Amino acid sequence: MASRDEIRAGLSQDLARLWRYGLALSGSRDVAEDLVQATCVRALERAEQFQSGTRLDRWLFAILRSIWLNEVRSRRVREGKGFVDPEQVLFTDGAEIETNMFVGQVLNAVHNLPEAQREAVLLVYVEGLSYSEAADFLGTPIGTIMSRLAAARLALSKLRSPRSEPAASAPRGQSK
Amino acid sequence: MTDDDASLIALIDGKLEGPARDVLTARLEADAELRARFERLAAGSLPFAGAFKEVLDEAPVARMQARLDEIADAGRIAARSRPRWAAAVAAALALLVVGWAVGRYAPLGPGPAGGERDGWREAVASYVALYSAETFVAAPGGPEAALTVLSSRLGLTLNPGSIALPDMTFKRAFMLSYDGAPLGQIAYVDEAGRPAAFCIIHNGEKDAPVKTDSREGLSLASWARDGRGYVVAGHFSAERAAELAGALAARF
Repeated sequence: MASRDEIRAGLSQDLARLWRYGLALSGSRDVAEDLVQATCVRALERAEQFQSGTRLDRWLFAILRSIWLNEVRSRRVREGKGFVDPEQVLFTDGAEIETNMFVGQVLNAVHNLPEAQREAVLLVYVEGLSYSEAADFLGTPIGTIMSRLAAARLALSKLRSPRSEPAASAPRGQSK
Repeated sequence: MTDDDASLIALIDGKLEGPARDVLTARLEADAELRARFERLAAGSLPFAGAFKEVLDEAPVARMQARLDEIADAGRIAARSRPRWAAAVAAALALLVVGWAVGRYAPLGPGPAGGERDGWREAVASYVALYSAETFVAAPGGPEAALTVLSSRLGLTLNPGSIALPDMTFKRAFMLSYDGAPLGQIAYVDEAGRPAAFCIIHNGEKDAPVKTDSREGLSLASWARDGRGYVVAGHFSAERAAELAGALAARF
């Protein structure tokens, strides 16, 4: 049984990673921040449900994901906002990122993937989950993970294709 | 996705090992179409980790941390103002049967899970959660000496006279712990042999007047004064709980 203090310390340590996951899921910085806040509330309420000896970060990610899927995303869909606002440029409104065009391109290319592929890329290639860990985490067969990664790779391969102009894959809103 | 995509991706990611790797490598040399597929998939290897590392720097960490602190501290204050430890005390009392009436005294009423058969597990867990290292240190001198231990840990004068209640027989005193705070439990039985308890926690609670409540099929009356929370609980009416609380509150 974990104490609230243990959960609080884990949350504190993983705030940025949780936000990044929330951003990858929702495509919105504000929604990501709300998701992290809701995750803090939920995790502290349920501190006694965390099993010591298992990974606290994965437990927190799962809480954030559940809030996204069950509460936030469905509401956004109902309100007609969809998952991704096509006019919104999500990963590039920070000055730090704009200084590095290629980083911006990579992030925006990932952002333009369908949500399921985006999430698979984040979990496997950024968070470092193995294919089977990602399958467990998402509750899908491993084949589904591989197929999402394959689809993501095929879509992203265009970014590196010598025939495509860099500007064609550059995100909107990076003109300044 | 082709049947080979999973293996090709594993190869690209350096996750394909042993004979499977050798077989696929050999096939790639012989099969131009497979090689083209491999190259397309491999071209999707972007520097994800490096790019997303920069996203971490964009996270509004200070604001989220401040919010987390507010949420965590608010939760702590809320837990104190509606004494959650009282619920554990009620569960403990429902199980005092474990202490001295095994087999004679069935757990009462529906458990916290609304009468589900698993409710008792939750009640046991709540009870065991209150044990501390001091709980089972036998006090030489019996229940009265145990009261002396509670007195020193809680900073109160507890003796058979100060904790005496009308129509109740003092049976035992236990030193428990809740959320790191010392929690003393003084157990009684009434004339019908039904258990009741008077509990004191030294956890910095704000002063609060006597309030009655019911949990686990028990009546509770709780109040707080001078940084200590008090609860009296038992199988009696809310009026009786309030009356006992009034008697005790006049002494502590």
